[in-house]
Amino acid sequence: MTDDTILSVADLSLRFGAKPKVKGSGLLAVNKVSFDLKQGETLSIVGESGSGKTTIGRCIARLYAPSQGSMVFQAKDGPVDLATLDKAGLRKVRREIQMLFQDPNASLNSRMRIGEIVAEPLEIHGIGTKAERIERVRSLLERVGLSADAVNRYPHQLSGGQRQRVGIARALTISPRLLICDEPVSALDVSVQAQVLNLLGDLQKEMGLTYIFVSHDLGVVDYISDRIMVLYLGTVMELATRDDLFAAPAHPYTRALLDAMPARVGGKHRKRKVLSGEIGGPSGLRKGCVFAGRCPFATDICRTHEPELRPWRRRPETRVACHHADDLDLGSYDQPPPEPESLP
Amino acid sequence: MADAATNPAPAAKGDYRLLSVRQLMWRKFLNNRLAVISALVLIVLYLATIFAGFTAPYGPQDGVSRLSFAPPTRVRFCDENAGCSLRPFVYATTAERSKKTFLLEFVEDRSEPHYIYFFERGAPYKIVGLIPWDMHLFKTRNDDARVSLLGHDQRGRDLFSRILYGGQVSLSVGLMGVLILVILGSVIGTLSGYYGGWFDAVTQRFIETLRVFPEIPLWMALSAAIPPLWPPEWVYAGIVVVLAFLGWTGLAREVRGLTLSLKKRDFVLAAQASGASTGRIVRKHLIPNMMSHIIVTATLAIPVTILGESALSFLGIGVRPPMMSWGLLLSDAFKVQVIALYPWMLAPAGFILITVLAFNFLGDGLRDMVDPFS
Repeated sequence: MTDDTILSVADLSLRFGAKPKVKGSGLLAVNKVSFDLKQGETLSIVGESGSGKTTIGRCIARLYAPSQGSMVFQAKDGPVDLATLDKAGLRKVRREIQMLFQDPNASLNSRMRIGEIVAEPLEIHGIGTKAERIERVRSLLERVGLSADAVNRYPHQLSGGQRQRVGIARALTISPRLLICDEPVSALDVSVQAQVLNLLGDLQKEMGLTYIFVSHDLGVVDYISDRIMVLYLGTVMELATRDDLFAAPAHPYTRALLDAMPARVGGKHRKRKVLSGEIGGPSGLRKGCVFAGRCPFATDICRTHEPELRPWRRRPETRVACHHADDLDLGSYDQPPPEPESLP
Repeated sequence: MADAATNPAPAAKGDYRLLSVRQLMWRKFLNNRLAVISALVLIVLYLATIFAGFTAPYGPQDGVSRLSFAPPTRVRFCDENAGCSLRPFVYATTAERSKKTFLLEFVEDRSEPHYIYFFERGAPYKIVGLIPWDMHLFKTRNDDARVSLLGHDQRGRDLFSRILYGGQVSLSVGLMGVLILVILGSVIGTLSGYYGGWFDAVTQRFIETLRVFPEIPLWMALSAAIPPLWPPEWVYAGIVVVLAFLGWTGLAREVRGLTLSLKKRDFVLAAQASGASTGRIVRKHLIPNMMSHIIVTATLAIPVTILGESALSFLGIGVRPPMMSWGLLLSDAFKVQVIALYPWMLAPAGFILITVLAFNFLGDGLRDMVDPFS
């Protein structure tokens, strides 16, 4: 953990609907996830539906209480563990962590005016006088590209992109330091996606924000991230910088995700392998690597022993959870891997 | 919707404008003719009964024994001697024993027309029980020639006046009962849905237990438990509580379901992530989103309560004289002979019918209005 670390997550697990006395009961949505987040960076969490990426985001925002692990956040008043924080402490720290939601239709209360929606966090924390709040709301709306007279409108009078801008303005009213973006552009048109992503990028630079960016769209992730965490069934498969990950994926699942990306227009026609099967059930007791069932390289050890997340030999700053990672050559985004020889 | 918020100019010019939710709802409501008419009918009914002293030509206990079971007086415009006039008039009614049937027969005394005057001073009363006044909407100047639109009861009291006074109880029971029902139902429903757990389980089982009982017998049992020596006002309050006590369960379930779905919505999560307290979430996010449903359910619960009160009073375990309600007035028409000989005694049933229908149509209209985007 270095000085500019803003959030340090260790061994985070969340089990939904666990019965206290039955071992392995319930649904293991997040499985021993650990990562550090540096001030000002963008960490993307990618994975299929049901991989637990949204759940991790909501754990950090403490919409869910984790079952295990710690999440040490460097608040202004010193480090706090979000996982065990009491109600009063949580309320205080919520000023510094905000969330941006996927569906702007669902995340704005249709009975409230835009002005009320954006001012709500200020009201909750009792910041400023009424006039100051109005001023703050107006300037923020303008900053995110809406006209100030949008304050008197209702959400249904705005377009999807405008609504997501309102969501951004709401998240930023109380000047948070960490913004958890839960698929903020996946409900938007492609052209609007780019605008919103650019806005998020600009705001990050201006306000020194740190982003946790949850997405399933590798194209979007490629555009915005500094580092990428690949998740499968609640378990981290690979954690690497964006450039490294696209240049040389370390994990067979990452390779499969890259293969699943549609080719860019005018790009090379890639030869790709499409993963067969479905993401398995994230049920309680399990053995071995969670990806073993779909992995083309799986061997006996994969089915019996769970691989640890450890530095990759070829690139130590990349961490990967695979028994065979050091022996595999998975090519790069543009370069298909050589046909796999049989493993030793 | 082209960038309206980023380009506000056309809205200012008035070329087009975006309607607020409220305006959309209002339009939707006005489009439903039946609901609008019902709303107007109800407004008239409520005003007429609230100001019963003014709208009723006679007092509720103001009876003339010789007019026992006298039929409605005919309102006329033409007299043989005085000719026709725009001002309506009535003839005095006199009772004669029929030599054939030995029944009292009422005949009009056509010797002199008694004109009906509007805004005429008469018997004193108190507006809403507070301000003394003696102005009546319409009456004749001669108390021997009474204008009775709906006939007289056994003691010669004007049924129309009594219905207006009785409406004070019948119509307000609906509102008061529903007020209690809405408060109970929405508070319990919201808590049950929001907190879940054992509280939810206990309330839901309790609601199920209550709903197992058939409504009318339970009402009867509960209202029979009201001590007969209580003053009429207390009995009235007791009836309201009894009616509301069984009515809240439906609303509580509906509100619970809505809460369950709303509390998982992103805007509630967003408020939670901002640190909003439970009270704030309920007040600002849950209640406003449920309000329309609550209003609709409440509107549809009013006629049920009115019918319940009428049924109880009809059976003699509701409000008691000297208070009166439509159900109680109807109980005078309990016997077949009465209905056969004096059919106008059924008039209160007509008022109940109109009120219940109007509330149901209004509720339907409100239900359509709630979802203005459909």
